[in-house]
Order: sequence, then C-alpha cells, then structure tokens
Amino acid sequence: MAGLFSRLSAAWHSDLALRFRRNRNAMIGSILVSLVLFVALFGGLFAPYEYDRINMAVIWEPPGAEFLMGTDALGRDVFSRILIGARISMLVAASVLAITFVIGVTLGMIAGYFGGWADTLIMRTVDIIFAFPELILAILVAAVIGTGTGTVIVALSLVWWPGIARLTRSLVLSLREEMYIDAAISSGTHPARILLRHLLPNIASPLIVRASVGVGFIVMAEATLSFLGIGVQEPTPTWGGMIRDGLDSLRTDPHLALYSSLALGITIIGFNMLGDGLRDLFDPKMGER
Amino acid sequence: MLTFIVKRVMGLVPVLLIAVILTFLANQAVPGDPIAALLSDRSGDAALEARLRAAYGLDRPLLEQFISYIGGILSGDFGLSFRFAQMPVSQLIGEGLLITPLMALGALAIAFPLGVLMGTLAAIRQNSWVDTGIILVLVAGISIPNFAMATGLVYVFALQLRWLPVAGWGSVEQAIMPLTLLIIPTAAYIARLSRTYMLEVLRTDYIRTARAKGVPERVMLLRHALRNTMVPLLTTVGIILGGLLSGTFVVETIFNIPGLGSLAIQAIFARDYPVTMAIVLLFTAFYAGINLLVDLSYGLLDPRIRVGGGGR
Amino acid sequence: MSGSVLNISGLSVDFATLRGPLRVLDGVDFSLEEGEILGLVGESGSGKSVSAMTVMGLLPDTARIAAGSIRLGGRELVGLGRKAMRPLRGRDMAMIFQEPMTSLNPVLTVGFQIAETRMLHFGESEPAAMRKAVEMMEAVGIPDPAARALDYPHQLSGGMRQRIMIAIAMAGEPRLLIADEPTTALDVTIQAQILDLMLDLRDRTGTAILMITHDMGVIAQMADRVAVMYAGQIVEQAGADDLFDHPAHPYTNRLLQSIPSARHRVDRLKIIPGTTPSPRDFALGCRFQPRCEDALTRCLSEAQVLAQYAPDRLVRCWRCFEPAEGVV
Repeated sequence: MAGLFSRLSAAWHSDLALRFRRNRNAMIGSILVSLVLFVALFGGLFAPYEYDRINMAVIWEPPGAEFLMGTDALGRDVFSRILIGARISMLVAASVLAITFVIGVTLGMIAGYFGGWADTLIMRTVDIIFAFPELILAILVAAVIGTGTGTVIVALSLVWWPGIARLTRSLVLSLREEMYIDAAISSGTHPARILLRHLLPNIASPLIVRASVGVGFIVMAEATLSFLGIGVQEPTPTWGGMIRDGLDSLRTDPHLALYSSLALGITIIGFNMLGDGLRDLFDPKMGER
Repeated sequence: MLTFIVKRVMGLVPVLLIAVILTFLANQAVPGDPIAALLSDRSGDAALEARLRAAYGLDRPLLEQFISYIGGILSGDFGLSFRFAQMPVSQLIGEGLLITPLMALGALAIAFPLGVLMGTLAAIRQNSWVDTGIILVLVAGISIPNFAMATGLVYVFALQLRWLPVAGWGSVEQAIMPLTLLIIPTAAYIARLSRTYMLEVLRTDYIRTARAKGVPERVMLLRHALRNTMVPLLTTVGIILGGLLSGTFVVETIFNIPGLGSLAIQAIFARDYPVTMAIVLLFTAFYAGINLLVDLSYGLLDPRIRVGGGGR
Repeated sequence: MSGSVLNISGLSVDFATLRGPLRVLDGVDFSLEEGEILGLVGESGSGKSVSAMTVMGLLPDTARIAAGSIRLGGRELVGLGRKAMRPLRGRDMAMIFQEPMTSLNPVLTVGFQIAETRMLHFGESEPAAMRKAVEMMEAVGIPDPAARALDYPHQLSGGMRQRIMIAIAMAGEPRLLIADEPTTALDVTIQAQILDLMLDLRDRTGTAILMITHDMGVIAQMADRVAVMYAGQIVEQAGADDLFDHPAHPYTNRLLQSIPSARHRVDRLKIIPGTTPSPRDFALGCRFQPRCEDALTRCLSEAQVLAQYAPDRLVRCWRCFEPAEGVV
C-alpha cells in the first residue's frame, strides 16, 4: 500500500513538475521569487551596514566600492536598506495573505455551506466593502488608526478578505451538490469535519492560484501606501518609501529612487509571472481579481 | 427595463448611506481633540475655544451632528477644515473636484481602446513574436507600480532629455507624463483581459460558423468577436477605476497636481479629518456611480440580459 | 461517378504534432452528384469531420493537405490560398454543425445572421437581405418568421436554432451542403423533423448534401449513397439500399448489426469489441483487422486499396474478394 502510494505520488509529481518546467511564466517567476525570498530571509546577513546607520558625513554618495548603491539623505547605505526592504515587503505580504485567507476562506465556507442568514450577513458585508475603492478604504483606516506597518496590514487585509470570501463561497456552492458531500452528510459527519476534510482540499487549488496572483498586488499596494507616506514609517526601510525619498533628488542623485524602483519592479514582476504560471497550470479558465 | 434601472439606483442608496455613516464615525473615532490642535498655542483662551467649538458644531450632541452632517452633504457643505481654520471644505476641494475625475476618466478613455487593440492584436497572432512581445510589455506594465515607472520616465524624459517638464499642472506638456503614467497600467490590464477573452471567443462555435459563412477576418473581429468580449470586459471597469483612483493619488503627489488625491494625502498628514472624509465620500460616490452606469450598460451590450430568454 | 458537385480523390491530411506529422486522412476518395445525398458514416475519430473541414478550408494552421485533390464543381480547391477560398465558403459550399445551442452568435439577431450571408455573397443591402432572411426562415419552417427574425438565439429552442443554421447555409444558394452530425444533439422527435426539412430542401433546390453521421438510422432515412469511413480511410462505398441489403465490409456489417430495431427485440446489442485506433496506432495492413472477426493472413500485412467489388460498389477488404480462405 505504501509502495503504491509513493509510486503514484512520484508519477503525479513528475507530470506536474514537467508542465511546470515547460511553463515559461512559472519558471522565470519562481526564479525571481526565490531570489526575493532569499534576500528577505537572509539579506540581513549580507547587508554591509545596518539599515538605520546614519552618517551625515557621507550623504548622497554615488554608487561605488564603499556603498554599492550609494547612500541616501541621511548617509544610510542604500544597498543594505534595499535588502532589508525585501524582508519588510515579504513580512507584510505574508501577514496580509495569512489574515485574508484565514478570514476569507472561513467566512466564505460558512456562507457557502450553511447559507441562510449567515450567508446573507457575510455577503452583504462583502458587498459593502466592495463598494469602496481599495485605496480609499486604506486611507480611511490610516486616517482612523494612524500610519505605520500595522495600519498597512490591517488596511490591506480589510480590503482583500472579501474577494477571497466570495471566491471560496462560489467554489463551495458548486461543490456542495457533489455526491460525496451528500454521502458525508447522510453518514452523520459533523459539518466542521465536512468543511475541513472534504471541501477544503478540493477548493485548495483555485485558492492557491488566487493567492499567488494576489501576492504581487499586495506588495504593490503596500509600496503605494508607503510611497504616499501612510504606510511603513521611518526608519524602517520600504521600497515605496525609498522611492519617495529619492524622487526629490532625482536630478542630482537618482540612485536611491532608481535602485528602489528596480527592486520593486523585479519583485512584483516575479510574483505576477509565478502567479500567471500557476494559474495556467492549475486553472486555465480562472478569471481575474 | 425601467424597473431594472430604478432598482439599481435604489441599491446605491444604502451603500452611500453606509459610506456616510462610516466616514462620520471615523471622524469621531480619530484620537485627539481637533479643537485643541487648532488652538495649540492659545490653549488658555476659553472664549476662543468655545467659539471655535460652536463654529465647528462640536458642542452639540452626536446625533444632531450626524443629522446636520447628512443635511450638509446633500447641500454640498462638508463642514469646515481643521487645518485651515474655518475654511469650508467645499472650497478647498472645489478645484480638485474638476481635476481628478477628469484625469481618471480621460486616462480611461484612452487606455480602454488602446488596451483592447493590443489585446486583440496579441490574440489573433497568438504565440507569434507579436504576441510574446506584447505579453512581456503587458506584464511589465501591470507589475511595475506607477511611481516606480515615474522615476524612470521622469529621469529620462524630464531630466536627461528635457523634453517634458518635471512637475506642475496647467499646460499640455505638464499633463503628458501624469496621464501616461495613469494610462500605461490601465491599458496593460485591459489588454491582458481582452487578450484572454478574445482567445476564448475565437475558439467558440459561433466564430466557427462565421468562418464557415465566409465572413472576412476584419468583419468577423469587429462584428462577431469584439462585441462578445465587451461584456466580460465591462465587468472589470470597477476594478480598473479603483486602480485609476489610487493611480491619481500617486501621480498627483509626484507631479504636484492640485487634485483631490494630493489634497487627501496632505489632509491625512495634517489630521484634517473633515477634508479626508469628504474626499473619501466623494470618491466612493463617484466609484459607485460609475459601477451603476456600467451595470446599466450591460443591458445595452448583451441581448441575453436585455431581452429575457425564451427557449420553447 | 463523375462527381459533378464534389469530387475528392486521394486526399491525405497531416496534423503537425510534437512527435512529427500525423496522417489523419489517408487517401480518401468519394464524390457527390447534383442533388444527391451522400452519407459519410463512421465512429468518432474516423476522420469524417476532418474531411468536411478540409473541403471547407477550415482546418487549423497545424493541419496540412499532404496529397490529393478536392474538386468543387470541377474547380480544384487544393492549393487555393485563404483569399481565394473565402468567397466560396457560404456561397458555393455551406456547412452546418452539430451544436445548434452554441453555433449562433449570441449578440446578433438570428435574422441578421441569415441576412449576412446575402449581404456578403450577393451584395444585397441590409433591408433586402433581411427580407430574404425572413423568406428563408419561412422555408425552414419557423412559425411567424417576420417577428422571429428580430429574436436573439437564446430566445429559440435547439430545434429552432438548427433550422436557423440551415437557413443561414441555404441562404447562400450553395451547390453543396455539408451537414456534420446536424441532429445528434437534438431530441429524437426534432431529429426527424430536421432531417425531413433537409430532404425537402434538397428536393426543392437540388443542393447536394454531404451528411456526416455515426448514426445508421439517419443514413437509412436520408442517404442515396453511403461512404463508410474507418481510421482515416474509406472502406466501403455503395448505394444506400445496396449497402443495407448486402453489406460487404466486415465493419459495415458490424455497424448495421449495432442498430437496435424497433421491430424485433434483441437480447443484447451487438457491440463492436475494441475501440477506434488513434492515428498514431494505425495497424500495418488492414486497419480494421485488430477488431475483425473474419481477418485473413494477408490482412495483417498487406494494405488494401478501394477496389471495385460490384457495379457501383467499392470495398477496401481482402476477405470480400477471397471469401473462401480461412480465418486467421
């Protein structure tokens, strides 16, 4: 039995792996994403300076041997800040993903499976949140609870969970009619067990696709909020904020803005390509958002 | 059809109502006493404090404040700014009101046909170099945030080549880069979608029928294929607008354009909540209004919705 | 067999695949006379639809005519570029498909979809073409055609939609109508109506019909002559009556045996064991041999040609010509 299982699993893996390798999007995307994740996890070890090490003697140094990507207005090493910036972006993205998926999937499953007033309540809330443009909601949150990394996470989670809930709900609705659910119900299985054991594994792959497609946009949203100044605050380095800092000095010292833009662009492109590739592999007919 | 319209418009009311309630509550929920902030230096003057409080209506019970808030909104009065003492909010946002929505809609008007064109081109030449090239451009266009693109564009076109001005608002040249930065990601998004939808449509049986009839390629694309991609495309206008709105915030900040976006950002930093809330409300109303229009236009485009199904 | 309307000889079509070209049609011959109904019958995968698409010039870019000739009314179609083929489609030859539910454009009125044929091929103005469209709708038996012409496809039933498809096809006044499984997706009662309609149209206009189907019942009702297709080849060709009374090829035999008859009950439907081979697995020698109960030794290794078996009868089979020899 175990031998059969491992053979099956090997075969399954190799077919999927083959298609993965053939998919250009997935390949390039995963290379870029791995790079970013590596930097996020271990970048701190390679950073030649502390990201908040101020040295007024070397402000606005151009890129050179001492400071790979130059320094900013406070003499801080841009390269180190970019490395740490990766960690911040990934942290925020992971947090938002975790929160939105836990809340969204749970509420979506409840709404889809139980229906009734729970469904109405949840979907009304979703509709209300959808009525607000994303950034506006984020601004509202920022206006109320102030700026900062926490605000970004709360605001983005607030904006994103409805989409996940809606998707989960429609997936559950389409699966609810399946025979094996009926079988589970009639054999007296507890609803929570049905939800977790039977429904969840079967809706996993569209959700995974959605997550991968969404990461890129979460990173972009965080960067936008930080760029506007209502996101991650100084001295914590965030690429969005660094671009803003560098914008005024674009004429004389473009390196801050340009390198940050590069880092941000590569990261989001990588995640988007990976997301696209995964979507092609798992669910070629899925719509957007 | 008319009942459909009326129902949809009525559906708008609860949304707006909730928006008003939320912004009002948020206004109340913000920490700190705005009057104290205004008074900052002259905190000893009780008479001044009382006058200010009365002027802002902050001395009345909450419910009364709420009712007069709603009343005010309906007549265009959004209260007074906290930042610029006793200046009506409506005066502050008046100028921006003309700029921001126009920019957003203008960008959309250009981005939409541009995007559909690129997407269709990529679809009919699927897997060719044209298609691959376009896809790469589109991925970049969607992935690179507009402010990141701005650094590159401003560096090259404004600073190095000096073709375009760096910032400011008023002349045509000054409008080019901001609009471009709004158009690029929007067009890219639309192009990706229309490519996907067009590919699907081109695979349908009814396109096969059209080919079997001997319909020439161009006619087929315009008459048979395009209209079928419009309906799903329209469903995404809401998302597109959302993106455009955040885009205007960024673009206005970069280029010092006195629109609602930069005003809102400044208001947040200055803790000028009435202004922030007013802008939030306006954007939400604008967004809801456009979505409503889009909903209504489905009926125009898709006969399956306009005319009920028969199927005897 | 002059094939005055359509004459296909030696037609071979290759599909490009990752592992090299795949020959999907191999030396196909058949022909149609004026006003004749030829039934092209075979299981799915036999190449019937590919033949139809090849004639119409609707093959995907990955397919290629490797050899052979297709003459439509004497005019050679093989080698004509896209530009030259297009005016012929919908005018000299027309095609209707299997899925009426999805074959009509949902955003155009049915009247317009018929009128478009007139506008394209006869240069008629839209009002004139719409009038003609209403005429056509009446001819195909749609009640209250003037009002229905402004309907959209989703407002009509499957049977009605197939009638519209026929109207679109006939509006071009084609000499050849190709019908690819036109009734397979319809209810049995509607099937009979549609087939009747097609017979009626043939009688009135003299259009030749290439009726593609896997259903021998349809063949029985419609066909003047029959061509049986298997694994990319024609294996038998005969007049319909002749075929039903004296089937020669073992495959034809099996096909006929698999028709349940309303008159006598059978204990079990006779099925043909095995499945249609995919083009990759075509056997050397006779392609039907793996499933044939009467195979000879030479069927294993020698490929046959379509040979004259009797007047007006072609068969591709060793057994038919040498019935005396023993079975493998």
